[in-house]
Amino acid sequence: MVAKGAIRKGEYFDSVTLMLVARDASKIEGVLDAAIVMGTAQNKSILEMSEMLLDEFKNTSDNDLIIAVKAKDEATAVSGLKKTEELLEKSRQKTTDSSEYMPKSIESAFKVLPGANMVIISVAGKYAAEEAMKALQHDLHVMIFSDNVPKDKTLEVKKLGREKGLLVMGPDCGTAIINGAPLGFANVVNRGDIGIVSAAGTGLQEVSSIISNEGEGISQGIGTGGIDMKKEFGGLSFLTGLEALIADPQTKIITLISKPPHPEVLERIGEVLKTNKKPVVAAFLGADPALVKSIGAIPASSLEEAALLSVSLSKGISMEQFNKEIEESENKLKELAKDLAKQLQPEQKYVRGLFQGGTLAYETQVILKDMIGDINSNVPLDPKLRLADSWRSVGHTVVDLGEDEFTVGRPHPQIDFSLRNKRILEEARDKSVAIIYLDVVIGHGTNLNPGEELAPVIAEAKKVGNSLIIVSVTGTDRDPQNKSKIVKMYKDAGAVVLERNASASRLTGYILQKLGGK
Amino acid sequence: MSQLDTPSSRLGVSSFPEEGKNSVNIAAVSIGDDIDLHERRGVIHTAFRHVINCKVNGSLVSIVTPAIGSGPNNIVVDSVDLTLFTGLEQNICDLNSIDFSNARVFDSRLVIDKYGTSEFLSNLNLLERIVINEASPLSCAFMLDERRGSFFITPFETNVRDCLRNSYSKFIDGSIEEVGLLKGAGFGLTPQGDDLISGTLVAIYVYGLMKQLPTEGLRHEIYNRARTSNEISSSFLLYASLGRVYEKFKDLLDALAHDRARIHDAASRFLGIGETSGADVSTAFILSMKKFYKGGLPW
Repeated sequence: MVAKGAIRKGEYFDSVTLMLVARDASKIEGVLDAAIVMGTAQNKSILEMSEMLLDEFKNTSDNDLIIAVKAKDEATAVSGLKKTEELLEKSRQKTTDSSEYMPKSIESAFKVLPGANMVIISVAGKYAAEEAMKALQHDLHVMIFSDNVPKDKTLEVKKLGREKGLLVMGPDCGTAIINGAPLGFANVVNRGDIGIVSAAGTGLQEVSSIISNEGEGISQGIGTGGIDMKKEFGGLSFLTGLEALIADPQTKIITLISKPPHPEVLERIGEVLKTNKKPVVAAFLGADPALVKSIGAIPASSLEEAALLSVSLSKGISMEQFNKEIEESENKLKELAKDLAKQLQPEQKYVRGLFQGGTLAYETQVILKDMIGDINSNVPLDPKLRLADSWRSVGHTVVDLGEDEFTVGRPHPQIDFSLRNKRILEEARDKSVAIIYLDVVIGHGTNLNPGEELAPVIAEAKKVGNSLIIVSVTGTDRDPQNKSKIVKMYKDAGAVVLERNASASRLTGYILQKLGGK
Repeated sequence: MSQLDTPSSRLGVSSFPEEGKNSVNIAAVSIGDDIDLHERRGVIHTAFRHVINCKVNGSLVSIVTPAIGSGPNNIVVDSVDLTLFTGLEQNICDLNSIDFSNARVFDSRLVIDKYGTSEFLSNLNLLERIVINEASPLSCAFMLDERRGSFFITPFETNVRDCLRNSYSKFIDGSIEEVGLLKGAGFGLTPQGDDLISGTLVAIYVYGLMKQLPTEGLRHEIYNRARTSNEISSSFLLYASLGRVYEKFKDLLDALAHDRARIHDAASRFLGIGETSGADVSTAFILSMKKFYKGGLPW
């Protein structure tokens, strides 16, 4: 074990930078520990305790920055220190690089790109509405990535957008695909003739990826943010998006995605669809299919079904053929479930779903509720099933790790896997757990190494317990991470991998039914 | 879709002037009550996006954006990006480039006029729950809820956590010498140990006012033990020892005393200070006040 270090005199970084760089440094292969702290007496004492206090650190002052790396051998320590210093330098460049002109306001951005027709807003929530109003007043479409935008301001923005016939995607809209450009968390998908309006970010990712993986493509993927379907917001953005797709000559099939809309919003969607001649598939997860039919849409019970139905319509496959293919794949799932159930012990009864994607967590609960009964969650379908403590599973549990309670002060779980990885191992040690269920959402904006981040944890979980690990991967081979590569890594590590969340959820349900669930 | 057609990018235009560099016209919104404007030229100590710390006539003055807020030595300006401030390249701070004509003076003194014990303790419990739920992972909120200790992952992080816990618990159990081991411990420019001491200093001040106890000597001794050559941290500690607080903390203390409905909003704003500072000061304030209510001042 060898420690190496460096001193930066009079250099200051904000604490979050130092914490993040030290965390990244400790993940470098062969590095056992890393610290970047001010050279105070007490920090030096902690460095000594951590076996990282070097002789050259002993004379540092409170105003000196100490960088220390401990590694398994000399060569790794030297290269680890070099990489850590590079990481620190890169973080500084990120904040100070001014070689490219960066507009400081919407007004100055207009001067740079006068022909722009869309503004993406990602500022603190309380300022986002004001910026959105400015953009709308200049007749520009808006995507508001920010969340925590005050409701009254949100409504003003959405009303103005509706009046002007401009898209207001958001607030809290994390995903869109406009003219082939993935915005926010989005996947690299084929262009084609299927247009999507979605009030669910990961829902849009799942559906667009399945469509692309099946050889068809997306004309536009319009996000609206989940709150749009609530009564007070009246589906204002959703309706504008739907009208845009109806008018769009490139869009032949329209796919709608949401949790069940408020009845008044559903009625308004029905009004707009009265003028529409294009086939419409609607996955309003958990909604009554008869209601969906009543507005002139083809109901889909899952994101997978919505995507496959849209693909069939695009390819001109008959419903009879579609149903036959679905039945065949369902029978294969049941056979697989039978084999997998044999690997479990009698005391293994529960599923523990640890999700990166909110919509996927919701969809899994909708599917499992009918197959195995009550699912406890931090985002439950029934408020009575809310977990008293989101950090501790009870019975069948589905946890959305993207909820605020888990993300305060840390990146979204699609970016930072560490919290979920820790919990996977905790669940694996619980002898009552039959299945650990994981979703992995790849694409732009997400973790670039999901294989390296999760595969070793799956292998470790298989060592410490006997749970089945079922993984659903959302994305495409054209995503920066390459879906096929990720799927292979997880399978090699011992996971059962399915490429659609609904299939993976039903497989989970079938296995638990074999074990004596509902 | 015609209305969504995107024109080809014309980014990368080099002929645009760098906005604001030659014509800074920053207006002050507020000025701290401990700032003396007779001397206006100094040197820049550190500069971040939302804060420029300057040494003016031996004192630390911070030029900050509204996101940071007022404080005894803060000048709040109406800009959201201080990288536009003149003099950064030359390391010079010239307060003459700020227009003070419409600035209000921020009163950093704490006024304690009504603290019903049971109501205050109940409000303190609410604040404790908020801190546990919302504090940044590597903050000292693990002292309020042990489960948060699991956020500290690397061996160095766990050693920092254990040192902070051990020294701080000894300190508020009555060992004033532990201040020497607590100061400077932790991450960042104002290490967590210093923020814990600040939170306790304010708690001593508040408790002293409420119980009409003389605490000036005690606060002065703790400050003298805690001060270091880190000018920024020492400045925070000095103001805390004098019972002078920054706007967001003052607002939180006011909500704790008078308006339960405002506590959540005020706490969220205060927790947003620094990566862990707001949470660390809050943690120490909660633990100290509860301790004092139970058994009086332990020193």
